[in-house]
Amino acid sequence: MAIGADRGLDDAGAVFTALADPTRRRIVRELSADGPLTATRLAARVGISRQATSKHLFALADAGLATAERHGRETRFELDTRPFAEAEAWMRAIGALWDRRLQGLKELLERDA
Amino acid sequence: MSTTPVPDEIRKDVTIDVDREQVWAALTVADQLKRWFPTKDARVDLRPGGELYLEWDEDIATGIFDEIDPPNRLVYRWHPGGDDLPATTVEFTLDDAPDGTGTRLTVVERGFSQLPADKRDGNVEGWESELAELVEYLTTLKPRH
Repeated sequence: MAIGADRGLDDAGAVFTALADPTRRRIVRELSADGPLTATRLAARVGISRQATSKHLFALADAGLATAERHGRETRFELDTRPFAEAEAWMRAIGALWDRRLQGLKELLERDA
Repeated sequence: MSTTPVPDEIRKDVTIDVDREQVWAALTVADQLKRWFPTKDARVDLRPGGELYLEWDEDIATGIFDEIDPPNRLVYRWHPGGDDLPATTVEFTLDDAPDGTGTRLTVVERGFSQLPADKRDGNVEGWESELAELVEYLTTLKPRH
C-alpha cells in the first residue's frame, strides 16, 4: 500500500481525536472563522479561562492542527488546515464506499424483483 | 482563512423499487449481505448484542447489533478491522419511498469525533485496516456511468 495513505490516516486520527472534545471543537471553529487569534481573545470568545484555552491550544499544536507564532509580546494561534482536509477526504472516501454499497444493493434487489 | 468543520457523520440514501421486507432481508440475511456489501464471508447473529461478522480476503470487520426493528431500523456498533474498541455506529432506516412505490433506505455512520484520546492507538490501528479496504475499492473499481 503506497499512495501516502498512512499520512492521511495519521492526520485523520489527529483531527478526530482533537474534535472529540467539545471545547476544542469550539476553539477550532473560532480559529477557522477568525484566526489567527491569541489565547486571551479565544478565551473570551469561548467563555473559558485563558489557562484552559492555552492547554487546548497546545494540544491542538501538538497534534499538528494549529501553529503558534510570536508577534512581539503576543502569541497568535492559527489552524493548519491540511490535516482537516485529509480527514474530510477520508470521510468522503467512506461516504463513497457507502454510495457503492447502496447502489450494489439497489441493483441486486431490482434485478431479482 | 476558513476551513469546513469536519462532520461527525456520513449520511447516504438510496431508493429501491422493492418493498421494505425485501430490503430488510438483504441487510440481515448473511447470503444476501455477502452479495452486495460485498464480502467473501458473512455471519449474522441477529439479536441485540449479537455479532455481525464480515470477512474479505485479507481483512475482517465485526459489529455488535444494538437495535433490531424489522423492517424499519437496524443499528450496529462497527468495529473495523476486528478491533474490539467501538469506532462508529451504523444505522439503517427503511421508509416507504416518497412517491409511494418502493423503499427509501438511509444509512448514517456516525461517531468519528467520539474517539477517546487515550484509545487513539487502538483506533488508529482499526482505521488503518478500514482505510486499506477503502483504498483497494477506490483503486480497483471503475467509475460508474
